[in-house]
Amino acid sequence: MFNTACQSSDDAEGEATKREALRKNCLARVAQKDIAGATDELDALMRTGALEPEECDSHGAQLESIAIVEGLLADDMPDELDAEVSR
Amino acid sequence: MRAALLTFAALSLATTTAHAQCLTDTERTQFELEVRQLLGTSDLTNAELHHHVFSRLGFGHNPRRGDAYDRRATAQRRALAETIATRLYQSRSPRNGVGQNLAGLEDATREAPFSRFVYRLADQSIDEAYSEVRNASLELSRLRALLDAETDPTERARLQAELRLAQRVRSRINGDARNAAAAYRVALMTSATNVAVGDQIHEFWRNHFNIDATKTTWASIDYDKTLKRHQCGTFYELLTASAKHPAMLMYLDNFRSRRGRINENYGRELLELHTLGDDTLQFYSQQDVIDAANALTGWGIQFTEVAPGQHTARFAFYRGGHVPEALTMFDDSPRGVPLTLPAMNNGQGAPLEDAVQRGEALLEYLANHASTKQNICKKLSTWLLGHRSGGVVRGCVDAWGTDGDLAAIYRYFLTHPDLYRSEGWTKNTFLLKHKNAQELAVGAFRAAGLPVFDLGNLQRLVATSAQLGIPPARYPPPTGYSDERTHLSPGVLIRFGAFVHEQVDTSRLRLEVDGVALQGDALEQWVRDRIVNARAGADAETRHQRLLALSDRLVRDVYNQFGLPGRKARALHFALNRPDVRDSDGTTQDPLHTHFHLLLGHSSALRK
Repeated sequence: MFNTACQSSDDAEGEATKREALRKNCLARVAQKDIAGATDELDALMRTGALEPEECDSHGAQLESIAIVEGLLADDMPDELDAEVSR
Repeated sequence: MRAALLTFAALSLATTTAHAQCLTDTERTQFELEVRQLLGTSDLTNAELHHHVFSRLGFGHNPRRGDAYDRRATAQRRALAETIATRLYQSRSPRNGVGQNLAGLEDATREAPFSRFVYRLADQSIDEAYSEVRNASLELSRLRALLDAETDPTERARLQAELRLAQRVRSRINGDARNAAAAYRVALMTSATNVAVGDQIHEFWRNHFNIDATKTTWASIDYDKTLKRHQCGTFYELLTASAKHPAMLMYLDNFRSRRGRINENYGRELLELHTLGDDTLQFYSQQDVIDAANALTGWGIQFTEVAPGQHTARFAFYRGGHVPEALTMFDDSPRGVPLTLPAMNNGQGAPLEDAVQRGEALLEYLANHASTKQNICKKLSTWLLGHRSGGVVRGCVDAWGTDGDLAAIYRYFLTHPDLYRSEGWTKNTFLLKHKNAQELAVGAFRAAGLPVFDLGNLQRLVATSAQLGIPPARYPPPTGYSDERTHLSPGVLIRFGAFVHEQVDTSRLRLEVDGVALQGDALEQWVRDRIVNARAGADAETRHQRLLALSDRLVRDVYNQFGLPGRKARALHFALNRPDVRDSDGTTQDPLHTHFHLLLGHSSALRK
């Protein structure tokens, strides 16, 4: 009985360590992509248990796509855009 | 509340019913027969019937098109029926020539590094268009990184100049994408045949599932083409094509919506505009709007660089961004019919190969909802018939059936007697459906027979439509422009009058009166001759009656070529009855000014 309980405790601890490693790995990968605020957002979700570490990459990829879209229009010059309509 | 509980497992995905053409050959034959019978019994004259069909099932009469009205032709009604059937049969066919022709237009005043082919994106795939913008953005990022690392003042100044130029190049590409989207929209309408069933239906759906190219730039034209490809399938297929397209994902921000950061924009418009309609019937609640957004979280765009400088943009489901919990929707509204979406892969619901099916199940539920059928049928009825009486809407809902076969719905409307007769209205009001500002400008352009693939003409038309209140491809609200409320405010009419006047002044206007093409000076002379004749040798009352008759004639014969219904044309005097344009002192007006007033049915011109 004692051994089983001890073993379960070890398993749980091992699982927690594994999850923490997965979490850190994912956050590091996302950080490499330099997406503003992404690691903070993902870390907050994972710490509350809303996001599994295995899902972190997928969520990070969505954040990356959002950053790309925002970058495509950032700082556009209106005079270049509206030349035709205001003609 | 209805007790029926729809579960995810009970919702099978809609089967694909799209034909290679919009109708089968058998359906086409039957449809043509039905239309021929209706045209044969219509109480409209041949000319009225043609103008009416050209306005409702097209964008106004263009006397240069092969299917133009020819009063000398034999078997006119039979030929018209055959044309309507052919156009519906072909109505999902892409019109590749439009993009190709636009892409070839060159602005010689442009200098490198800006492309001279200002509408080139009209003939690009979505990947090519995206790659142009993306590469320009990557170049900007590269230069910014260099500038950040540089300390030498001379080199920094050089890099800053390069950066400014790169920014202008990127802005110009985005601008070209928007302008190409606008040109594409008006070119589709101005280059269409006189009977243009497919293009009118396309315009309806493009307006129903509206996007704004200001925001969607490179994805806009592909979105238009995607809607047209799906317009003869089921409504579910069309709705899904719209929901998953990068343009719609960007326009209503669904690509941003993710676990922890829900964006309700698309969820709300999906329910309020695209499917169920406004909540007057209490089919859904604010919580359902939030849950719709939840069901569609993780729907985004995947950008991939497949080769150096070559990028792709595709719909993608980001599982990590999806809210995985079970959802029960539409259960707290008075008339809601509950829908349950099981939790994602929790072992309790149906096995899900891909959790994107949760969102698809919601779309299918909405596509087949009774309120959606009512909402769409009312809008289509107004669009095509000009009214939405209960009987017509009920007929459309019946045609919708269980699978939402859009071709069957189009057939219902195109074989409705109200489309081809004046019964129920007076003879003079059968044309009463109001043209919106865009249709007005396009109708004038078509009546004038102007070359479509001309840079100056297209730019002028886009600018005119924008000034009149409907910027092509860039109408901002998700509602799309109104089909029921006229856009013809006095200010709009003044601008439209100026547009007509400009066409006359530059001898660009070509109208057909009494079977004779009149252009520029000839048109002005034609108008002046008739004014002189009307005034000659008669007392004041007779002159007045003659001028009124002339006005009616102009309104009917000339103005209809601009695609404007008669009553609306007469209402134009409200616009012109202003001190800045009214000839208040009774002195002789500039002949063109007189002509301009007459063209617009101006009452003060008639009193002279």
